[in-house]
Amino acid sequence: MKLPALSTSRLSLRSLISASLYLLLLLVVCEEFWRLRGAYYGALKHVVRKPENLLEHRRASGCEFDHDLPGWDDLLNDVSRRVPDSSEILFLPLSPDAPNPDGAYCFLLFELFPRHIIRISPSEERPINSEYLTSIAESHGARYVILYRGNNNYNPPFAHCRFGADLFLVDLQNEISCKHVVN
Amino acid sequence: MLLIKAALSIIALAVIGRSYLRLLPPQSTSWPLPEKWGLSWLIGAGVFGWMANLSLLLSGRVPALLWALFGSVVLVDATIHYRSIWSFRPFRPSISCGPLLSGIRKIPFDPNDTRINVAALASLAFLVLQSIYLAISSLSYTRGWDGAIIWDMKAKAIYFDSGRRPGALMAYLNSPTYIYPHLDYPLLLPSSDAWVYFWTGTANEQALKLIGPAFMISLLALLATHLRRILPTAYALLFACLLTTAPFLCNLSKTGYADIPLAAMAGAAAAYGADYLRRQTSSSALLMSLFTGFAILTKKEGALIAVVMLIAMTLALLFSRKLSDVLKFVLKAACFVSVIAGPWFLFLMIHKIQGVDFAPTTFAVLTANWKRFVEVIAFIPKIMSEKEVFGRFWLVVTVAVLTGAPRWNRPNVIFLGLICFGYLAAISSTFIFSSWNPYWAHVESSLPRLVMHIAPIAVLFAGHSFAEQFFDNHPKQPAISSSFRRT
Repeated sequence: MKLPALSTSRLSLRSLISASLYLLLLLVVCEEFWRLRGAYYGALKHVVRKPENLLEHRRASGCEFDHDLPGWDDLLNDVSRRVPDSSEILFLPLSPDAPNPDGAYCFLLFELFPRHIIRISPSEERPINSEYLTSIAESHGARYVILYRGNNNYNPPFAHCRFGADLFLVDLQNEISCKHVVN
Repeated sequence: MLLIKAALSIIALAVIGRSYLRLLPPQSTSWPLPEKWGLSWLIGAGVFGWMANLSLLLSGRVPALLWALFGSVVLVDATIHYRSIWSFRPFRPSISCGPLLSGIRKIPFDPNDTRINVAALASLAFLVLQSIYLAISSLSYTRGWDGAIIWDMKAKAIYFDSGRRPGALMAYLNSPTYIYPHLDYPLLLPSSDAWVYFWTGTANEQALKLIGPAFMISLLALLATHLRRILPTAYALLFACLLTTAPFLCNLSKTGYADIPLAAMAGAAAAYGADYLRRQTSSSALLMSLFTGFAILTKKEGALIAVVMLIAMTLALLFSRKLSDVLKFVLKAACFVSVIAGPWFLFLMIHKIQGVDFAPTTFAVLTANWKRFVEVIAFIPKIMSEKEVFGRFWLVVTVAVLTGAPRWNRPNVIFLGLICFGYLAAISSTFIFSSWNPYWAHVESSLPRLVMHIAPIAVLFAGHSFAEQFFDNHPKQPAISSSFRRT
């Protein structure tokens, strides 16, 4: 029996390999299409039904911080109005259980730019009293401190504005006055 | 409204980039439409980033005048090319296309090759679907931590600097490193972001969500059109589709990270470098040098890619050209890259801005930590084989590269292969100097992204190896396409 030569065969080795790679590529692409079929449908449904919600509502979304909590937007507005662009502001989470302090800091850093926000880690040895606040503020040349995650009993030792249950803007020169309490 | 303005700003940047493209290599008018628009976006973003860096070095800020200066090239282009400014019809479709395909005119490269055309349409449909899905899903996707804290912040500084608060960028770049991380990262991507801020009139980072997809889609367009020069359309589009099958890569292109823009710049540089080695066209050499420079301005690792790429090109040229030609190319490319990247490095030197992730590169550190290189190199295949990170991307690339093994001696294949392996070796060696403790946390947090930078180049490596082996001299020999038809 005469065997067909590979080079002259209709199904040559070259075309077999190239067709195999083509099928492999096609298979991988089809697999990806199958994996994403639900996501395609979801995106299409979103575009048709709720196009207005396509854009994520969170600002500075990369910070992964939910600023819908009471007080945050008011704090941003107040600081933007009150504190000059060239100022430095300290950010101090009051307790270790403050929710997502990294995200909160990132959010403030982004939203309050070009003001420099300097994050301070709470000291385990020293209580957060007027001496402590004064010393950290002096060491950084800052006048304002944002205290995060207060509670209803906490009362900062300087003039301050309170925003919701979690936030204080403290003026270490005691000159701040809040016309209204924001809750 | 915000999104419409953002989309318009991206189109405007691409239109301006188109003018730069027409002025740089004039023959670009005859290139396929997707390639022209992909190039236009990348060149627009690159030139504006370079101008921002130069302006920062010379005047200490990015004034509003720069925006006008950047855009004025459209007038120059219109004056020179007034007859053909709107002509986007260099390609005559070989068969009549429906309105769906009117933009992609060069798809049916062989009128008789009906099977390939049908196959090409399926992969083209997938590519378009992926691009649309990418753009839509990016709107509701997070910008990512680095996107917000590094890149969007830089964009905000540029925007404020040219608007309501002159000096904001310099104050930001000279601020303590414990406030803002990675002050030493370059400004190409933030400049494009600031461009969008400028058009939308507010520093709302929601407006930046289409930037990542714009880079990714440009990259896909470039890959598809470039591969189409050496492969039948069905293969070329499938190789381009392969890039979108890596989940990590797709997800990252929805964020504000600079990794996809870097991959796009590096991919474009490699594509035109390989093209230069195949066809010896001066425009390809020019574009390769241009994108190599832009890669440096996109992210710090771009400098690593640029060095590896120039070494790879030099070696590939040594195998195929006269020594005088090699020296001429190296000199030209080095000058070009220096002019593009020089202003940023000069600025960093003058202002003593340094990164904090790496210890000084001393011999003592090298001898103390050299084993890290081996550990990281050994870890790379593990990352590449993780299905939830890269899918089957690297597996298929490896298979495709291996099928073309007999043609690895071709200069274009050597060039692309050297970049892939050289860059992996280079990034592994950088961890010898990592100042993180433990350094493995640094490896785990950044290595998948670093590996991803060469994903487009790996696709090109696979495509070129495969093309050299199975479709050599394509498309001059129609017999090759007919041999495929027989299968």
